[in-house]
Amino acid sequence: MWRTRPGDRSGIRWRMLRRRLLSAVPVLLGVVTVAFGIVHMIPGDPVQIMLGTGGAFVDPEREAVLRHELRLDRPLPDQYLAFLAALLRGDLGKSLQTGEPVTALVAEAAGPSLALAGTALVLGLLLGAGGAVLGELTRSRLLRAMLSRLPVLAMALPAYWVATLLLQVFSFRLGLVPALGSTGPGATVLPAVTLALPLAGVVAHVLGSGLRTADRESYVLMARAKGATRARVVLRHMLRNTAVPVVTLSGTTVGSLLGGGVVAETIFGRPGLGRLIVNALQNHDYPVLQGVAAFLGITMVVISLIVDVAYTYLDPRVVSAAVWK
Amino acid sequence: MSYGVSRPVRALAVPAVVALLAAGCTAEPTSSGSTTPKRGGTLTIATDTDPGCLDPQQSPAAAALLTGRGVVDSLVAQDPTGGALVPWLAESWTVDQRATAFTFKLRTGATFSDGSPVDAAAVKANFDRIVDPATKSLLAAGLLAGYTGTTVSDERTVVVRFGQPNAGFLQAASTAFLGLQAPASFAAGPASTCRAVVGSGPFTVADYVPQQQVVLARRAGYRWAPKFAAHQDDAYLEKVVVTIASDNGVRSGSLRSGQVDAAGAVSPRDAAALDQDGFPVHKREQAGIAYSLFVNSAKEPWNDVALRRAVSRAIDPALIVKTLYQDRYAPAGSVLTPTTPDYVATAQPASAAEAARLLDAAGWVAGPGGIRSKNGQRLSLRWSYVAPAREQRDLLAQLVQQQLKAVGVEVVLEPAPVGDVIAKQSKGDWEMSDISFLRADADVMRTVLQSSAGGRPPVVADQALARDLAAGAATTEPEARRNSYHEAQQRIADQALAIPVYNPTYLLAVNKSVRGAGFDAQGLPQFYDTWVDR
Repeated sequence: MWRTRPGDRSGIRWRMLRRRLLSAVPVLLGVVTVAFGIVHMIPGDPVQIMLGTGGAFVDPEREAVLRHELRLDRPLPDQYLAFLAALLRGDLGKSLQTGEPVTALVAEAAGPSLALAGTALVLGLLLGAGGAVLGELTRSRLLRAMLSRLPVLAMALPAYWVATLLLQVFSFRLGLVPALGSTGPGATVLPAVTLALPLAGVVAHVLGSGLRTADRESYVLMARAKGATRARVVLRHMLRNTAVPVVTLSGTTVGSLLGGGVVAETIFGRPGLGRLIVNALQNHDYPVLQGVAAFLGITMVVISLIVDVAYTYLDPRVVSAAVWK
Repeated sequence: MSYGVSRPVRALAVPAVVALLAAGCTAEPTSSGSTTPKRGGTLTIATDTDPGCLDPQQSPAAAALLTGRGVVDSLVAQDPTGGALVPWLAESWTVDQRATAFTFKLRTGATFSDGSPVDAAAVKANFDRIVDPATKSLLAAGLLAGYTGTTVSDERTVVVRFGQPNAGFLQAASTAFLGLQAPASFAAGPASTCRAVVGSGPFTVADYVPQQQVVLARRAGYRWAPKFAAHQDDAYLEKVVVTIASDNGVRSGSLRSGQVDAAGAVSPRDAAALDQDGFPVHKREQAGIAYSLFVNSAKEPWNDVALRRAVSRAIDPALIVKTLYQDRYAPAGSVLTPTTPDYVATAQPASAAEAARLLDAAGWVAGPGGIRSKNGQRLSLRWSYVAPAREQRDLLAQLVQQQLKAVGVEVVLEPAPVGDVIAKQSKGDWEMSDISFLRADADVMRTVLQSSAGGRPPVVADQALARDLAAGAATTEPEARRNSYHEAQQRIADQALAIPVYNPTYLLAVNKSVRGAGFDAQGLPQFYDTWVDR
């Protein structure tokens, strides 16, 4: 099917997008099904937890009434079908705890989470790529050695420790940024750095080893032979060639940044998806857990689409492969 | 009043209690400086838990009381000094002989912040709403157990009726859980009052960002504070910002760096340093069930009272509070805390020798590894507790394990998520458990420790105790209640039905500009009388 002119990449991109969108449907169905299954497998029962934490003892009568009120007395397959049917209408149900619509809860938490994840991603990429490139360009052996070992350290630092340390220094001692809250850019800096450090470590590690491998490639020698400076060779040629795994990595990282920011969110007192998940998990708030899973699933599908499209810009071979399929 | 619920369960969901606003409070004199209250200003307090739902009629969380108390008033108020019940929205009341019908005469002039009057119809609307299953009330409905309805006699008179004696209802009615809300606010459904509670209190909910902060704003024209409050008109503070910071270090760090004015639920570890550095730490023992351990007396061999007594004597609360809480929390003196009305000290001193003697006498002899056994059965207790635990209760469990091992009793610790623990306990599948529970009325022993329905964890199935507790619930005569509850506490201690360990204590650290910080009857911070000197 060599119908498209070799130069017409946008047509190919569209067809690729369409195919990926179609394949996203079963993926999403899988995600929400697995989410539904897992949350119902968690030991313990939401009604017992609600009554057990609240009242003196679980009165069987009130338990039955509450269970009926929350529609948890229906068989699991019924609950699953009702969940899917509601999902198709864009309705994620209501929180068992507060009765608020899950879509509203997710939307409310997603804002600060997206802001935090986005900032952390940019910071992590800048720090990581900067470190890797600097390590490649520098003539100082010491700096190079340091830059090749730092990533491992950055990956190994526990978020809890980093967050506490950052707070102590930048908020409590220097008073540069507020410790708590999510209002204003100042409040986003420290949690973003907390999340960005391990990411920067991974990026620097992957990019650094990619650059070292690329250094031995013939196109590097060619470029040098044509008189390109070392900096130009690294930035223009090698970086582009080694960027593909980093883009893949960034895509998969966004998911964990979005849903896994719980430590940073908790310590810095920010609302977000991570805390929403943990709170819902503790209370067995099924609809909220399912809602967050569905949201994260959709987000991941969108991101992987973006990543796929990004490949086509970075590496022409991706387009050729798509064309030959 | 108030039940902030600190059960095993609440471990995370309501870690630690909350700060409470407003009415119903004593003001403690604070340091030097100006003594004439200044009006205006904002108080920012960092607390450890997000209430999740602000409506105390729905949420059992102590965190919902923190904000709720300042927003809703109750029919009666409980004096933090002594625990007496005094008029609030009701100017007087009568109770029938059997404690099943409570007639309240409402004061005039009180209004909800939406402008509607606090009248008899509003009282009925509130109580009817609490017991309506659609409200999904988790604690408040339990306080109204046996509720058969409210009759509106005239605009200012209501009769609240119960199917069985419920003397504890008066005190329950003083809590924010049964606080009155504007009936018009119920129309939009339970989810909407989770976000904004409309009451007749000195503050209104101005903003709520879940997991981040609750902002309360002063309401103009408030004229119905309880008599024991330090002043009678509008609250001094213009705004109270309750920010949520679950990390202990972040709360104290924010206080030290001036980002907040007060830090609630301070850990005992941080308290000494804060005190030294000029941040006064106010402390109040909370009312209700002390943090206590329970050995399942329905299970072999623990149905033998001698064994339970041995376990009780082997555990040394004094050493535990010294080691874990730097003596900031006091060792418990009874299953109730001393700030609970009708408390009586029952604790016997710890004695490993006495514990060993009891076990020897019961025929349990030390076997391999020092653990006792009898007829081939090891003397062992499985203890499934909620993890992650608050107030270092996980470490406490390890200390208890060591202390019991020293007398030859094995404790198998099984930390588990809340859901697991509750599921096991509700099936009666437990040997050892722990709870504490916030409520300033001795009736809490009946509602928490005893279950007629064979439900929740420490089911204390003791006939004599049940009689005492029923007697206490069936009379509002102070002398008779005191006698019943003293007997009940003695019975619990004598039969080792509960092993009290420490009195949960609220530590509130403030900076020097905060004045009039104090606590309400159940030991939660209040801010109606609080002001800032700057």
